[in-house]
Amino acid sequence: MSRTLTGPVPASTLWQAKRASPDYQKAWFSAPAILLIAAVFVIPLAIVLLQSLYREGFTLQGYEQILGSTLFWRILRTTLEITLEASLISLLLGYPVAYFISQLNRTQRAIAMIFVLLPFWTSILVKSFAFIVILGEQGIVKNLLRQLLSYELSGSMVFNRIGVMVGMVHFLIPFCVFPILNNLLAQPPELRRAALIMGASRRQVFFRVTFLLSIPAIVAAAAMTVVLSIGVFVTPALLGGRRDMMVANLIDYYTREALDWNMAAALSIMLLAVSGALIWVLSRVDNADRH
Amino acid sequence: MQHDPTKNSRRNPTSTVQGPSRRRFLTGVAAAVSAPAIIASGKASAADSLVFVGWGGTQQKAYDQICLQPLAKEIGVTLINAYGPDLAKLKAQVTAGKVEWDIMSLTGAMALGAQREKLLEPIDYSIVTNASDLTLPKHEACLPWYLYWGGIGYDPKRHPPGKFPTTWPEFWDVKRFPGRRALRNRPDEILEVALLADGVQPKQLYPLDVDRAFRSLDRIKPHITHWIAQTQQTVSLIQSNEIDFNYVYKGRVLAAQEEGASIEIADEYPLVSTTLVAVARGTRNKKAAMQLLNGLLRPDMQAAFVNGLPGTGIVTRAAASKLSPAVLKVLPDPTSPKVAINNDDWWADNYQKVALRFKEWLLVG
Repeated sequence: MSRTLTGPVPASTLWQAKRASPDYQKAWFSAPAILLIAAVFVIPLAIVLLQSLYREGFTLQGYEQILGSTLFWRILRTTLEITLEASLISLLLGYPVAYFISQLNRTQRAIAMIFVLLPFWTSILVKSFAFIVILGEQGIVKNLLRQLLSYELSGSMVFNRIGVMVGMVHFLIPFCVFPILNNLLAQPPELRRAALIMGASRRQVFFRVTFLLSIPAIVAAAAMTVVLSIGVFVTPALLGGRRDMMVANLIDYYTREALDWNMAAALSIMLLAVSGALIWVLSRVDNADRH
Repeated sequence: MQHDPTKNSRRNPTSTVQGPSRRRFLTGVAAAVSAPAIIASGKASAADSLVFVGWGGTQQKAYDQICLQPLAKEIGVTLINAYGPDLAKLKAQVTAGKVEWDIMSLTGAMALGAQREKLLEPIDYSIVTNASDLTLPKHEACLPWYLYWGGIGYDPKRHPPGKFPTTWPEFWDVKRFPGRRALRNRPDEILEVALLADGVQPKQLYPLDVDRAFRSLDRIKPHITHWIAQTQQTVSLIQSNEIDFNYVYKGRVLAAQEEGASIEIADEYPLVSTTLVAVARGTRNKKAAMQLLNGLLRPDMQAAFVNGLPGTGIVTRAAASKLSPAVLKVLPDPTSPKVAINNDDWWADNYQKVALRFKEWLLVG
């Protein structure tokens, strides 16, 4: 790669200028990462794509079968519902956590981070079983209410959508806290101080300075939670009810039980397309915000 | 002798028999996946070892000691235990031409599905001579190994006699036997149970009247609070007082009782299913694998298995005389009109269609 590739920088925003002039010498350093991604991601993905079009010869049968099945549309709807609900709740709960941690001093922050990281390090299977113990009929929550307040909580907290949400949000919150916290810590404190000096109330400082500056991080966190939750299947299977079936569960069925890898591949590609579309929408939000 | 996976793959160049990139890629994956297993096997080389894939847990530990290790010693091979038979993994190994699993313990629907997909080595009945003594039909590429059975699970502390259902029509009778109910989230065994509940005689179940089964399931659906995905939950949900009555397996209940759990099974009208064994197509050690299958059906091994693992049953005639009195007391008699026997052949032909309908049925209403 030569430097001549780098043309004159168009007069534009600083942000765009940074993107338009990459240092091609340094690009070599990313070669190992690119090779790794190609070997373990791009090539397998291409194989999945081929498999989705191949059943004793080229065919679109898999896609036709999927688009024509009511089962798929029902499951896709559930998947999108669960994905969006879980992402939204995680963001709503994760943001205050990130904000709180950003206000702490170094030692306090380290301790707080451990609490965020603990669930992040725990296996999703273990967490799901733990939630059955905590939220179940004879679980800690219901028993405490019974013994302390002699109050019988009607309705279940697990094996329905509530259980799925608790499990998913618990899993997703660290992925919201990290990017948002990173952003909040990187914000120059002078901006807030300046706003205060100019007579803004604390509330105004938050909504008109801190929050606005953190929107890119919120979008990044949303993208992460959407991608992660659209492919989830353990949590709904263990904590959900009979209606909480995800597309990933259907892929699992075609892969392991029906052994119809053409259908499984076609479903995977469709799921990828759906999550790609969601990410695209999110990136539009991000761009709209920048200009 | 240390086995070198790279050397081996060069010696048997799979690329000559394989086509395009997908297969070559899968070969690579299989080699990468298999490497740890080979390293873990220590001194055993491919030529004199067998990998047995079972469902793990205390059960596999027990039958490894009771039958697998003694039989391997007789045959003169090293036997390595692996866990979690999975048809997708098997298919990947067979298509890649690099088979790491030799013998697998499978459910009926799995075994016959794999047989149809040509993932299994046809049984060499000139070696597996003990198969002539089987009480169940033989298949081209898989063999019955042992029986297990299910009934209605409950907690005797919460439900004294008369307060729990003992038959499937009673399980469906939510007025006479109030309580939270659970069933498996898969159609096999559950469709049978639904038909039994609707009044079909245990011996007249097959071919299953699928429409009638779903109509019967429609009636119980509002009262099922949990559709169980994992077998362990059939026991743990009763223990944690999450549900009152469900479909459980005798073996699981006995194991839980041994650990002190308050759980019981009403199995006067059991549904008996078969666990099968099969050999992966393309195994490097076909003869030893067939010898091991033959050993598993030998009367002494059949009896030792069932005596050592309460809640299971024999599949050969000659083993009956060697069973302990305690086992004989609980063992269902397959000829009894109260005993329903899962028909693997029916499921092999119908599983896919019925499974999709069942999944759809779960989602609606």
